[in-house]
Amino acid sequence: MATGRVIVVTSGKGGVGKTTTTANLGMALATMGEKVALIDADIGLRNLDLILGLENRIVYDIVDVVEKRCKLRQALIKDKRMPNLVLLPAAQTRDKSAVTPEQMKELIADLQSDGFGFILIDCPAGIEQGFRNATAGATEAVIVTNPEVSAVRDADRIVGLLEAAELRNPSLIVNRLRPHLVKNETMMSVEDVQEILNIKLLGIVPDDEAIINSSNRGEPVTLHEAAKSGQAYRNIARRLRGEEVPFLQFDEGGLMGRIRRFLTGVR
Amino acid sequence: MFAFLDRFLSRSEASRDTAKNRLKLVLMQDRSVIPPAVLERIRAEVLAVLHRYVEIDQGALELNLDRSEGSVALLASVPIVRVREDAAQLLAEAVAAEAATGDASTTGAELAGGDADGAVEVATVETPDAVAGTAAEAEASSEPATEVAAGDAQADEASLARPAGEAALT
Repeated sequence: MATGRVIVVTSGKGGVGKTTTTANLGMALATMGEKVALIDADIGLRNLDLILGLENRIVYDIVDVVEKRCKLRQALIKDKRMPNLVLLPAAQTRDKSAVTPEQMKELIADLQSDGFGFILIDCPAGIEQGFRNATAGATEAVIVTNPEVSAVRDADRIVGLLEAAELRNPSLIVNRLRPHLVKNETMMSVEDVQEILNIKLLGIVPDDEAIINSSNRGEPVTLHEAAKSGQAYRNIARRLRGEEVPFLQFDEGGLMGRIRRFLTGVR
Repeated sequence: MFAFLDRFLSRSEASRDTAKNRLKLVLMQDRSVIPPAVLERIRAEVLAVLHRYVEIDQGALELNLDRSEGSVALLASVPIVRVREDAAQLLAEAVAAEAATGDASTTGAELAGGDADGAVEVATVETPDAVAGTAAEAEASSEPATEVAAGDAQADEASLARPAGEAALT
């Protein structure tokens, strides 16, 4: 039996970019030839389908699978752009108790035996049942945070809870970094956040208008070569595959950077 | 540049540093939360150890977390009724037993009889994982207020250690 990697993308706090991160890492890994399954574990508040542009193709969802109304394969939505990427959508009209940790583990085992090399789980915000379900079958964890006090505090709590759930050594993605604010000393730097949380850094994603655009269109930003955030996600995907990739450098604090920001309208 | 001038003129700290410092403080508190069930267990185990040597007013025992100046301490106030007559004898036996098993970790313990109508302060800083095995490295003398440190090797790291969370404690 194939042993695909099972990675939960979590954060504690809502709105830090878990779903966008899951969508982009899945897409980037698929682009690199990996067979990828994305699970939307945010039952009742499904959004991963929307970010991926697959919302019109949902017939069955994760609850239909665990309640045996359909086969797992029937519920998986194949991405049009990248046939080796599939999505298992969340149910929209049920709540977090509709799936148990045991059912989640079974489901993941089935995906693994279907040959998926990467199974990414989009975890709901919070630390209750939804979090426990989403982490139940995972063997690795990625914590997404923003350089902002409440997001970092929640991330710290998540590190503790993951440890208790035997998910050790989570890695960190610092999302929505605004380099010129760091330069101004009005935003914590990646180093600041990492020093406080003291876990391995997996990637840095700059705040990027291109993300809003790509969410609007349902096209993950990683499909766009030019976007800096897309580059960041591709780098993270490569690191997940074991490659050594240097972290992006953002030097927008100088005069040229400010002129560029002025001209491009990027804050 | 304006941010710099503004700070220079108003002499206020950069908000980045304020954020970092506030986070460090609040996380120290978050990470040092000991669930009531664990606290109760510490209380029972500390009592059991002390009870071997001294008679304790159990109802008046206080056990609190104390956070001050960047460190966290577990403070216990234990009113002693009287020291057991056979305390010295018990100690001698314990030391002999340990010497026999080759475990010399508590041979430093000293206990003297006499007037002990005071409170023994027990300060222990432990991560919840380590609590189950709370070692009694007891050091007591006849002075009214005595400090007993348990697990002091971990004290430095404890304030930075995260609580293991509910799942590990139930």
